[in-house]
Amino acid sequence: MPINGPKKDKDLEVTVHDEDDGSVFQIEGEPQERVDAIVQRLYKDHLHRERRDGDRLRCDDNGDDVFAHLSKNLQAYRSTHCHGLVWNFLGDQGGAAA
Amino acid sequence: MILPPSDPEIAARTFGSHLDTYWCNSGRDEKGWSRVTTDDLHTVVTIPARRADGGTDEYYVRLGAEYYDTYPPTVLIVVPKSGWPRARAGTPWWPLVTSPNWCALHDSYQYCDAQGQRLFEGQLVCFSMTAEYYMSNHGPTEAQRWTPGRHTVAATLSRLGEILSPPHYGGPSAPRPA
Repeated sequence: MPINGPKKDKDLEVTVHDEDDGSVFQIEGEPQERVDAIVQRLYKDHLHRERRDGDRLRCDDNGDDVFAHLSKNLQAYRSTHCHGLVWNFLGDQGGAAA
Repeated sequence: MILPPSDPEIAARTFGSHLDTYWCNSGRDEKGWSRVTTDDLHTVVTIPARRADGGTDEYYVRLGAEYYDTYPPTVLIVVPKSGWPRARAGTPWWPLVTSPNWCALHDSYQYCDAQGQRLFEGQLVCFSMTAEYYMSNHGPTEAQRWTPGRHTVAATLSRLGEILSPPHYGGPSAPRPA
């Protein structure tokens, strides 16, 4: 289900898999919009919280860290780092040391 | 910590629904995963672990909904034979994993309370999306803790898939039979 206003013809669509609950949804963005804006909509409209240490957001194509590219525009980011614009989100988890 | 069992009917229904949702949305079939329901509360999931050379090795994980979804599913790495017995380290069905800092695989783990009573003994897939993590008295932060309504079995399976992939997965701990 898209989290957006009216779609414009050339909007790009980011698909996000929430690996914590198995849901999947789309976020639309304009090509010149920063990746950071898409990520903010992810947190505000789907996760309903602020970003936390330990959160991971990765490109499904190659495992690349989305957070490393927040200042890029979406079109450039798609061309250089994440062609499919499919992301996987995971929140923090405790482990052996916890 | 002794976990209170969930109502079996509700647990089975919730677990099944959550598993179906994750399976469908994440394309597990297309990724070579498979599953078999062994009883109302248990499912064995086959996970194709990816080696660095591109090859795959299948592992078998039995998930249980005994405490679901107040707590995560129980997780047991098993052998693909009748009865799905527990897999042991040093055998073909136990993976070698260079663990990320949030996960460890223990062939045999014991936890005793202050009085010396053994509260947990057995295989432990140690991260906060398995029931055994809580049985063995691990202490996650609030952000790390399993949260019903926020976490489902998706959180368990996605992370198992992650540790059975590069750079973490290092092959079986003994050669597989031909």
